[in-house]
Amino acid sequence: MHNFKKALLSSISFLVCVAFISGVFLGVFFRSEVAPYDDTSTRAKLAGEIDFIFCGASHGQSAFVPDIADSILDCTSYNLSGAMMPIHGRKVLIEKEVERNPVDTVVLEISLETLERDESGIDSVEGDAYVLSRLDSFSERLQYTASYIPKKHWDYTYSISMLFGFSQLKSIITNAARIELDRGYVSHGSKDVSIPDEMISELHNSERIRMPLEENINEIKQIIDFCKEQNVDIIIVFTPLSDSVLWKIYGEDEVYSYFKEFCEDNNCSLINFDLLKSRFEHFNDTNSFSDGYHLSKEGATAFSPVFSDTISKFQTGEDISGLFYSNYAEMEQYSPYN
Amino acid sequence: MTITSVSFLLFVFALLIVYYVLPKRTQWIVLLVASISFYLMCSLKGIPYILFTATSIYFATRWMESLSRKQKAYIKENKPNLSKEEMSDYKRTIAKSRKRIMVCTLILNIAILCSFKYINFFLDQISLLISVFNTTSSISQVNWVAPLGISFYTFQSIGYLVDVYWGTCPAEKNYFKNLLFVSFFPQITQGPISDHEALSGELFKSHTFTYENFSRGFQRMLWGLMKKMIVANILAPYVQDVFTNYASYKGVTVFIGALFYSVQIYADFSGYMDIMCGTCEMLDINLTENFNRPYFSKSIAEYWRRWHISLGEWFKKYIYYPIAVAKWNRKLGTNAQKKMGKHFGQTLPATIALIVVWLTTGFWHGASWSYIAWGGVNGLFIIFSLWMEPVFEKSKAALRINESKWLWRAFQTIRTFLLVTLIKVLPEVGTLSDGLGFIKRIFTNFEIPKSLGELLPFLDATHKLIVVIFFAGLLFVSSLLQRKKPIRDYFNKIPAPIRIVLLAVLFVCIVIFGIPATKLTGGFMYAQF
Repeated sequence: MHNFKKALLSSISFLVCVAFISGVFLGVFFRSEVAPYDDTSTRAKLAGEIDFIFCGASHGQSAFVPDIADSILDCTSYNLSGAMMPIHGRKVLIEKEVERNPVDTVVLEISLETLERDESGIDSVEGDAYVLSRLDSFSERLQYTASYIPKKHWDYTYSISMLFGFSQLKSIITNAARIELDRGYVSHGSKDVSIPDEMISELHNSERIRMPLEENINEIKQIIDFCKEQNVDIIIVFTPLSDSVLWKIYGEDEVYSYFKEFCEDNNCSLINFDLLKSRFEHFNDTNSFSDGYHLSKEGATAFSPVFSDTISKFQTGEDISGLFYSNYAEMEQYSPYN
Repeated sequence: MTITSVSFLLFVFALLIVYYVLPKRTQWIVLLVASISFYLMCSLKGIPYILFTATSIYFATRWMESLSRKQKAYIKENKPNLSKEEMSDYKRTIAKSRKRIMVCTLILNIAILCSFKYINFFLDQISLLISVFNTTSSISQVNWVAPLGISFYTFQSIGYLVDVYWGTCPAEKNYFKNLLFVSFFPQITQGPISDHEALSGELFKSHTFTYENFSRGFQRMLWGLMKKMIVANILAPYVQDVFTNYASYKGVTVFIGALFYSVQIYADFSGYMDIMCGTCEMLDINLTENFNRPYFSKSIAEYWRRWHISLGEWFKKYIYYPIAVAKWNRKLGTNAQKKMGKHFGQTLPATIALIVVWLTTGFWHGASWSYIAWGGVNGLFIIFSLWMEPVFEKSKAALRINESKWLWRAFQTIRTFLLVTLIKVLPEVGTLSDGLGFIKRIFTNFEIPKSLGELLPFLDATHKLIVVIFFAGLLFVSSLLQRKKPIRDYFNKIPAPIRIVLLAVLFVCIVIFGIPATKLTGGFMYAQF
């Protein structure tokens, strides 16, 4: 009995130590807001004021500058996007902000990549961890984990959260500079992502875009249904990719037609800024992008007014179809690589 | 269910509770249920094969033993009436029957093992032969998934079968105890290959829960998880990158890749052993050790006495000794001694046995010429040392080398480690020519990298390298300390509260660094066998 009591006491002590260390790291990750994308208190301060939400993953986070949008749209906007944010994460955060703000418009940024990504796969766990850090309470985090993160990835979610907490603790101790968010917007440096002349023909149509996964379409529908229930205008957008990426990928028209049909069936607007006719005037591969997929600061500064202007025209009932090519095949004819 | 998963930890702790709560006489039954459940969770389709092996071995050993008993009883009863010739004839008949039973059972089980492991290798060789005569024909490969642990449980069962045949071990009368011996879950994936007497002694005795066993077992499990999940799994993609791209990397980078591989495979395999030995320790079962600081060996022969010890012992007992002491071999040695001298005569039988052992060891490790070559190279070094022993002794005496000096021992250790590292990569890079190309790159490309990026082009994050160096360093220091006594004896001298905190910190390190590395890499390396 003595052996068993000693073993039990040691086991409990061990678990208490592990819980304590976990509490420190997870506490830092979830509560300290040292993380690059943690904006819980910023959103809490703005609660009751936001009427325009832009929500997507990292493409959206680097594209939409709230300050620029506010002046054109005459609103108080917020970029709710987050790196690698899964669609169910967007749903949870949108619901949260719509509940505590007088939101009348939600712009949901979706990319071709998002539509084909398996959100129950291991790659999505990081995005889920970021969403967990942006929730307010322990019970909300528990509910999110139970509802959206597959059981087989709970250990990895715990591991990633601990790693982020450990990194952030290091940042706090060393007083390292943190990435500042501008109402959710993160600016990126620019990089020349042009395709060298000798690689143009080789890279043309070298990567296939797969069809959207049904689970992703279902989750987008849930966001659309929620917004409609709340009388919130929902617009789905594709932010622009670089000319070099568009040159490389193929199969986009198949995906775009499928998704356009889905939006029409659900009475939801879709605006594809990849097909903007003036894209070659506003964006270029030399300095508008940081890596081909994400707009740089220069690119976002060019995109945000164009985006806001287009949304404004759209919401006032103007026909904006003339501003866009009808499909990727048409757009490609005007590509600088053609 | 993988050994590094949360579900395995929960499985072990549930087993511990049931094991110690139920009466002691039922403990082996609990182990049997746990082993079969474990096997079902990991390899449902493999169950018929392990059951076949257990059943065939059970009946074969019982039958052979019953023949021996019958013989004893018959001779005792009829001794006054039997002539010497009649007795010899009778004994010969019984011996033939026993041999037939042993050989048939052996062939059946080896045939199953070979079918799964080697069928594609043989089909490839037949295709090659056909292609010499007919360039258009070829035989397509089969896609059979080998049952979990088939190499390990087949060898263990064969060892037991031969022991009963030799009369050195009694046959197990209880079928289910026999099944537990074959399917015991801590050994099933990667060994150790245990002796029936040793293992059954541990499995079927009464086990009492002690705090010492529990804490030491848990410490060992955590240590094993650290080795596998942090050291082995972080190094795995780097090693794979070097194996794939060695032709475009500098020689020093390729060499670092080889060193990383040595560390990776040791951490992977010995990590598994630590997890399983720790589990068994918590169950008050002592499992055979499979490693004894192998990288501190002073010769290749010594290395193979310290690395995968149980496999080496198995080959020694069931292949080396029977060949070495066989009549025809001893006769060969005697004749050779008369013609070529004492050393030649004594070494020749051992050489023949070693050639067979090492070619089969290579073949056991993998169904390819590169593995056979790997086994052959190991054997060559051992045989060479054996033949050159008198020359080495004379040279050492002439050079006045003091073997007890630390400098000489350090030289031997480093030399052996480097040799073993280079031999190890031979079958791992790809084909045999890839392996040779890999080694050639190390010795022919002397370009000096100008930056860390050039030296380690496969490195994706510096912090991972720091983590690996730290924990590999910990392994090295603990191995050094283990010269004098087990590392846990040092660790258990630390006051209990500090020990618990250190274990908690280790656990958190495994969570932070080990889980991501594990999610992105494959399973255990030796599980493929």
